Amino acid sequence: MAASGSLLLAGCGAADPSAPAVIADPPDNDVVLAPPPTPAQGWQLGTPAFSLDPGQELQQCFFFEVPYDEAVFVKHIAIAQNPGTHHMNIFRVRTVKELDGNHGDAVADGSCWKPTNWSDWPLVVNSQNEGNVGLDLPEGVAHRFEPREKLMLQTHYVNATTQKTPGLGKVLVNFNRAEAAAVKSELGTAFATNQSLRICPGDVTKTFETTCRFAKENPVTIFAANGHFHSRGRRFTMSVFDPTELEAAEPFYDNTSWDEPVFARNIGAAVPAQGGIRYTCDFAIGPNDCGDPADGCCFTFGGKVEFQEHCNAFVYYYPRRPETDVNCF
Amino acid sequence: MLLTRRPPDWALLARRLVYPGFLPWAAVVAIGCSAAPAGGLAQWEDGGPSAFDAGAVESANDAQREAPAPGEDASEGNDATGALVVVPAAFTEENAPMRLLRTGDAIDLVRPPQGGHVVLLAAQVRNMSTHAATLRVRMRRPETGFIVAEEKRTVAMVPVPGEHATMQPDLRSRSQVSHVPLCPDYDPVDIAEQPLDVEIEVTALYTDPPRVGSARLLLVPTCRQTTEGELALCHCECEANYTLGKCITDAEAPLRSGDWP
Repeated sequence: MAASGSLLLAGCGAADPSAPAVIADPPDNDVVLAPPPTPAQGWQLGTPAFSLDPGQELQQCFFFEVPYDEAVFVKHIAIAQNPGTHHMNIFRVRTVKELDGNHGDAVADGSCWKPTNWSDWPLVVNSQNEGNVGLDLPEGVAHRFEPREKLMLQTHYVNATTQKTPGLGKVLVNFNRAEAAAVKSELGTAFATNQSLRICPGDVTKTFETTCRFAKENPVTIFAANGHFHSRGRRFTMSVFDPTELEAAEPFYDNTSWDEPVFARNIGAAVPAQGGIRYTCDFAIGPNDCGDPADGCCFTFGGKVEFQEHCNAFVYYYPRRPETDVNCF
Repeated sequence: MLLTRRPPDWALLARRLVYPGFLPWAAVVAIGCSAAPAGGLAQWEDGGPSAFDAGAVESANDAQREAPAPGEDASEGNDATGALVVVPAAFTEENAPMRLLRTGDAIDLVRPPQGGHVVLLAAQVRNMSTHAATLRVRMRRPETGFIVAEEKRTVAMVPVPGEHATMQPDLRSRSQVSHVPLCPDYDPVDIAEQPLDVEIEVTALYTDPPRVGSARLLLVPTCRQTTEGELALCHCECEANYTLGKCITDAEAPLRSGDWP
């Protein structure tokens, strides 16, 4: 991997406002995302452009500091990713184990692959889509960031059999601010992962379903959601989970594309107090496919696209629980 | 961080086991049928019967007539009908026999690869011949019926050695048993050392009509890790009112090799 630029932090007082948000002379498929014009309007995080060798999966964790000395609110997030991206997640850094960095640091592979290193880090935003994606929060709803809060941007690019990176990898994210006085509700997030998956050659109707509850004493509204699995995934659904109901509700999220999954927005699904989601992943693989040769060619839980599988749900809702976001395992 | 834990309230548990309102759940209830069970509302708020628990009581009473007393092998009562007979069991480790469960048993809270704590539950199923099944586990608060967590997965079934017409999940992998996610516990009630009403439902796949069996019993999720760090983490995550970042510990247990690339 060769980085061809520096870590980007634009549109804020701490960084050089004249720093370019994209590398010079970009290739044709290079995404463009202009940073917010002024710190009062927001800031941009970004990675340098980087290349991948054939057959390579590259996961990198970039560390940033929110560039303000006061709490700020964000009403719109814009994400731009060059082709070849598998996912991009931004977390708030909490318990530090083996993975850490100062503002501007990056960790490539190694501890950036170990999910226990960010198991209690709340989700900020994610996207698995190439090109430009926008998340426009409902009127009066905003994401809150603490002064100088440390964030980690994790990017996973693949240039192998299941996905290709035709040019350079790169991720840019804009955080466009809201006036504090206009904020009526904070955005809450929930990240859920169904673990110990295993899909073996010839499995054609393999289903994993579980629940994640994130509402507390009061109902919440799901605003956006997306699901994540790898190329053995056939269908990802989410429905509202009411802990007083035995029957599953109709899905509010239904996706059949593993590499460009639906990022559903403006969902408006009402979740009762103490409720959450029920999420289901259906998998199928052919009799001659092979994940781990040492394990009967099965595909087991893990982040490697080529030979492992995931069933992860990302949910954005409001109002946020006052004391915590939620991760479900 | 090692938290002081209060011990299980076994006296309370014992009272629940003999409390008339709880009697339907006091036994390990094994129900077999040849069609999917009807669903319904789980409304325990007023303590009275509802669409769901009335049906469950009826089933439980039927099962109690046929099923053994609590603590006995729950599978024997229904063998004659040819219906699926579900005997709840806990996964122990790969390629090892499961631990058959009786009501009131403790079940281990274990840590899966990415974090949190789950219980690993499955069943031995009599009168079953197909090699694939859907395994669903639903865990509820005994007092209210509130569903704390629910998990369902398709699993490969294999014959139980030495048992006639009895199948169980392929125990070469823990992926073949249900992983019910119980912790972190964001609720105001503890998970660890508190009894939960557990329903294990098995649906035999590739049969027409689908054949379904279920069993119901009280189980007590319990932290029984053998190292101080693992035990502290389990207690911390399975204690009420968890918040992200709460369980900071230097002694967090290392994962098994192979849990990540």
